[in-house]
Amino acid sequence: MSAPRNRIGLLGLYGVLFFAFIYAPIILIVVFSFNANPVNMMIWSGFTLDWYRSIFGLSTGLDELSLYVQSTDQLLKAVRNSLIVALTTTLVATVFGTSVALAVARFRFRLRSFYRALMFMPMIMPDIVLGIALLVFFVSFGMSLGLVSIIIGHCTFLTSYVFIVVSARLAGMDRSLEEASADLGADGWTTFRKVTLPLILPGVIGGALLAFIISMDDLVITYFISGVDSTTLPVFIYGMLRRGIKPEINAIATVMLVFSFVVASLGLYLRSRGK
Amino acid sequence: MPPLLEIRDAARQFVTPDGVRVAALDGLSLTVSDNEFVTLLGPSGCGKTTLLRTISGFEDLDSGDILIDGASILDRPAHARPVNTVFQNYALFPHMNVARNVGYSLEVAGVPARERTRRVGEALELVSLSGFGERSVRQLSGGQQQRVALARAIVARPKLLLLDEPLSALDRNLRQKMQEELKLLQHELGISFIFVTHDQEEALTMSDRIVVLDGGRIQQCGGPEDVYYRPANAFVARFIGESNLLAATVVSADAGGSLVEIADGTRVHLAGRSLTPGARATLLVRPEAIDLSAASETGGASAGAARRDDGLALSGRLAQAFFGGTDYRLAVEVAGLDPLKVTARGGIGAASAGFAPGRAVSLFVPQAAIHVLEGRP
Amino acid sequence: MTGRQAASHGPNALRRQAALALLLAAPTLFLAVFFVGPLALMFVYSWLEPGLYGGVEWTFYHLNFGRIFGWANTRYESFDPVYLRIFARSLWLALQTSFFCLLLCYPAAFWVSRLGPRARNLFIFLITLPFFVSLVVRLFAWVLLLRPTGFVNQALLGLGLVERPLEIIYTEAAVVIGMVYVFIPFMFLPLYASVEKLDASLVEASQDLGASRFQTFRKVVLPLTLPGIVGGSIIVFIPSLGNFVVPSLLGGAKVMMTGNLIEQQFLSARNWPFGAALGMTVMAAVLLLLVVYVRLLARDDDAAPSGARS
Repeated sequence: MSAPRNRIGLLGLYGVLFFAFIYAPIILIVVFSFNANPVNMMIWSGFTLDWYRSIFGLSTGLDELSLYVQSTDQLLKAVRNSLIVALTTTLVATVFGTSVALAVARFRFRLRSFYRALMFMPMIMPDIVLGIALLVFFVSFGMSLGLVSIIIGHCTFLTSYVFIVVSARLAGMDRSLEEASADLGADGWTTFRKVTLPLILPGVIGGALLAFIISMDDLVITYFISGVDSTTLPVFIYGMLRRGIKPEINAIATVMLVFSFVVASLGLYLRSRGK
Repeated sequence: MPPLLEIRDAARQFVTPDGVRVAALDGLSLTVSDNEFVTLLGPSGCGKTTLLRTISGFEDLDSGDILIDGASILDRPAHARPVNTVFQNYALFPHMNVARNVGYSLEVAGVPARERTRRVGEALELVSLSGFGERSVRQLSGGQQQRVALARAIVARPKLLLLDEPLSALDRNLRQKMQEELKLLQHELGISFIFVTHDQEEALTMSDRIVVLDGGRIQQCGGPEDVYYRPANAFVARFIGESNLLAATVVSADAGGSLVEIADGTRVHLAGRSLTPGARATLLVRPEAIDLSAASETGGASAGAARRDDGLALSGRLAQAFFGGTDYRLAVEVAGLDPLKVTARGGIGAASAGFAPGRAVSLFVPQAAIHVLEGRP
Repeated sequence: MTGRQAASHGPNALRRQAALALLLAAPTLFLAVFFVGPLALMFVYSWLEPGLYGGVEWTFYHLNFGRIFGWANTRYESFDPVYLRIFARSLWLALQTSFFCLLLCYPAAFWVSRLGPRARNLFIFLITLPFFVSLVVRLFAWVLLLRPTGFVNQALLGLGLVERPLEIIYTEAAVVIGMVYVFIPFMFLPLYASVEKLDASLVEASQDLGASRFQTFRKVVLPLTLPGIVGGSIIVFIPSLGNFVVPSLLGGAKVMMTGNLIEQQFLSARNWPFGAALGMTVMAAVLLLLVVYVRLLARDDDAAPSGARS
């Protein structure tokens, strides 16, 4: 290599541009969420917290026309729906995904590769296909569309995400640890409680966080199987965007950004501690 | 009184991914008594680890039985068997400190904390790790991990301790030290050890009894000297120690012994052994049992004749010499035979005596150092 | 011992079967009803006749596919090439998305792989972080950027590069930009995994043996990172193909993809059997692609030295 430093330099420059591409749009949203200009969001006309005040239901001197959120209740309801769905889904999907991961990793049985394929199915299937399949199913069997149908829908594919994360953790775990536990007198349940679970816990928590984030953010599947009163946050915002863009959305987006960053960082922290 | 452990006719087959059925245990029977150090020795795939795992309960038998103190343990799951294992990779729980690792079996058995602390302390003292209880197992060296695994396996005083190649991950010096310590520990505890290894030197050093396995069957079972000097068959002879196996034919036999002839026509009289005339046999000669001298140094004709009577005398040419520290490993070409392995003592004088390739040498094996195996090698 | 299989009998086997049943019972039941069930039902739907007012007649009907692929020619249903055109556009846009993702991520993967371990972990985290940010929010950012009054146009106007705002949003380009942006983490991770595995000494060996930098890239680097390239491309291609959020926000009515067509059939036209048929077509395309991929992988495996197997 005649000029390695030079090549690293070029690559480094590229790296900077790459990150600019990834982060510039996000940073832009944050910056312009403090922009006072109510007509053109992209022209800076001074600092304001009005958009945040508005979404949190505080009084502002703003014209009704420039606001989406006529009542904060709608927004809060969407947030509440999202949280109910995400928390329930996370619980169920984590139990299911971990169970199947344990079965596939620790047992040899005839249907093992079938289960593995089943778990990969939702990952390779376009969201929209699962969305319409669930819609057809729920409607055909007379199930009303609401939070329950959304939770069921989310569990079907989030089980796979948990499965994959926990499986990776199990693959890195020495099987002889469980044998050692049995050898030292612990029965199956004790071994699971004292050895297996503590060791795969970072994977289980990681999978749960992933499931939580994806469930909170899912638009496509929820879009098809949510009912009138069960709008979740992404569906709500999607609807807002389709109606036109108003500056408040910057503030909503920024709040969501901060939330996602916190959850993702927490996940990373837990993962690094688990190693 | 029934023996501590009795294995009756144990059989176990595996199906390889290619669909081939392989017998890991092929009708194997074995008994182990109290306070005995038994080694299962064999090449990889000989069934030794499978045998260990069926005793500890990680694998089932297809047929046969395993009894401890006369009672079958086959229907008892691994956690309910009175045996403990030291795993090849130690299998220390990475999320527990040393003391919790060692006290694990007491913890799951519901032993009160104070009693547990006392016994963990004792076990750690036995393996010279007092004061290490609070350490994380990740901070320990390989040798220390090995000791923790050992302490963990003996803390509940099992009747039988199973050790699955526990020393294979240690370097040579540490391994030798641990071999001695293990042997002493076994003596001190009075627990029977079943020790699996593929290292014959390790087996010879430590065992009261060596069980040589191949193809899921016992090839020989006996004391270290037995299996070394009197191997039951060519497999054992080849597997344990260096060996020269010479194909031979029995020429004649009488009350005093038998006369056999090896491939190059040399004959040797083996006193006290009655073999069937005309039968084929294999002579086992250990490399260190061969006396080697320079051809010119052989004394007068009468002296040579006298020596020839009580052993096997050959002459050949030195082909290769490797210096191994305490001794030289030599290869000697003898017309009509495969090259012979010879071990010669080293020492400062040896180098000047010269093991230069090409030198003509005389070889002599006292007849008492020749072991006869039936059949061809 | 993993490769070996034991005959299933004996006390251990029994106990394990009980534990296995305990682990699998609930997820199996759930997925059979709510995952396999809906997919099977959708398959059935795609072969049923649409009812007059949005319902469905339980009679076998092949013209849903006929409308897409060309054999429908009756008074009520006729072949319309627009569906194939939309499908072709989806394929084309998904292909472009994979290509540009690859183009952007490949050098970035090399860059990250050469950083120190701490910086490396940080940057991998930063690249995957946007994945955790709401999809709608990320796309909204691009709406802001690409609108006629958006940031890009403001910048261009301000610099005097253009006189009138460019029409960027509601074009195919906008859709591709949006999908590339959204799927970058999907491409980066598999790509990085195979770039990182690439042993630097192999590159040195190649150069030591007289290969030029380009030859080294073509004969050593490229083949060894190919699994990541192909894997990443497929992982990006699949969700791009059936996407409907990106085209609906950045493509508007002008750039319709299969996803939008399906949405339309379900939520406004209320022709579910036809929508289901479109969905099945997308599924079939994805499965076909995966079968080809798995075949290629299997061939690679056969060619690789099998020394690792015991």
